[in-house]
Amino acid sequence: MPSEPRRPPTPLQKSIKKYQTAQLKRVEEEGKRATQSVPVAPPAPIKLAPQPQPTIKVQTGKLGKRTTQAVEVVAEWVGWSRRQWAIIASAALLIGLICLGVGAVAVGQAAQVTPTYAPLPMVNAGDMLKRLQTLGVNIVNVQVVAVPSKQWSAKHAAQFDVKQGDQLGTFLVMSYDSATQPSIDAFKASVDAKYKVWHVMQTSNVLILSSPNTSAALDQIMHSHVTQYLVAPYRDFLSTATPTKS
Amino acid sequence: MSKVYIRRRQRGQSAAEYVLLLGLVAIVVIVILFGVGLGAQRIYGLIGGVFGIHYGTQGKHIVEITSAQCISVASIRQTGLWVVGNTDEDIADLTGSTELGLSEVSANGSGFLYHPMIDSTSADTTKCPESVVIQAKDGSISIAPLVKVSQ
Repeated sequence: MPSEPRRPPTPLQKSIKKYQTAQLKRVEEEGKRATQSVPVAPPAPIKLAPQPQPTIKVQTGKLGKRTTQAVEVVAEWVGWSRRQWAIIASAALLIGLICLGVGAVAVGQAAQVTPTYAPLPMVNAGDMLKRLQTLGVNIVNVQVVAVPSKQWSAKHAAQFDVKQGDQLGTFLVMSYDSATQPSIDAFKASVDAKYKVWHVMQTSNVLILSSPNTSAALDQIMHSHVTQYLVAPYRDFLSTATPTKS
Repeated sequence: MSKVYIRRRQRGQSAAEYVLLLGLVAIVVIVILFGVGLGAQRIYGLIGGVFGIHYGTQGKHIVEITSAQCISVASIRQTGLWVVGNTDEDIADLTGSTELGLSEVSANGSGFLYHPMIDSTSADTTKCPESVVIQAKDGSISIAPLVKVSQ
């Protein structure tokens, strides 16, 4: 096959070759300096480049050699490092700014939407029983439970049965001095051998436990009555119901 | 002349790469934040709770934490959370979370109860998380710092 006529090198090709030649020369020089066995010889011509070889001045003094090496190494290292660090720092800054911005928006929303809810009313176990009876709940077998006791830290407590048609359930109602106190008894009940299977309802300062044999429908009725009594009138997001005899 | 030409060209390339990279990073971060919206909201909520922020959203739906405690009882050697509140959300749509993890929320009458155990072998409030977040699938959220109670 006839070979194609060789094109004259473009300025870019020339520049690349020149650059490559310089690099090769530099590597060679560095190798010679590292061995320090002989004084630096004038650079040998490299056949790769058709252009005339650039003259590289090498400082012959000991200090001069070291300085030149250090400057070359640091210059190369700083050149890359600066770019890398600039990119990393800018990316980190950008990520931080975006996260801060989202956080600021979230906090701003929090400040705007935090509603001030009215405190829920505090009642005692007796009030609760009266209310349920007023609503027509058929309460029987009422027993006053002695509290506070080893088991409960309540201030007032009563256990009773509810009979609604063929549905039957047993409830334990306890009231406390504050709305945070029922949590401890409720927590203890949740791991107690007897009471862990009972259903728990905690509202305001009242804790209501219903026995496992209580029907779900009866539980639902009781929950609804308690919510309508203690929560719904004070929370506009919950629908209020006119008390009716169940 | 050619040296100058090469240097200018290299600088131009690095600047373009630099801008492209930063733009890409910004896009990725924004996409991640929006893509994992609920997760990001939860993380911000937990951080807010650690700093004592106590709030609930008031929008389409309400989630209100009325009591958030980490309770340890020495007599039964148990440590756990007891978080209760009111909501008009479907309880099945709620998730409770702390720095330790997230789990489902159960019903508490017409409200909710979040009750994960922290330690079933000892009463130790040092194991308690700092804040709790109750979050609905639609983005409604309630945040509260946890009050540590020992008995």
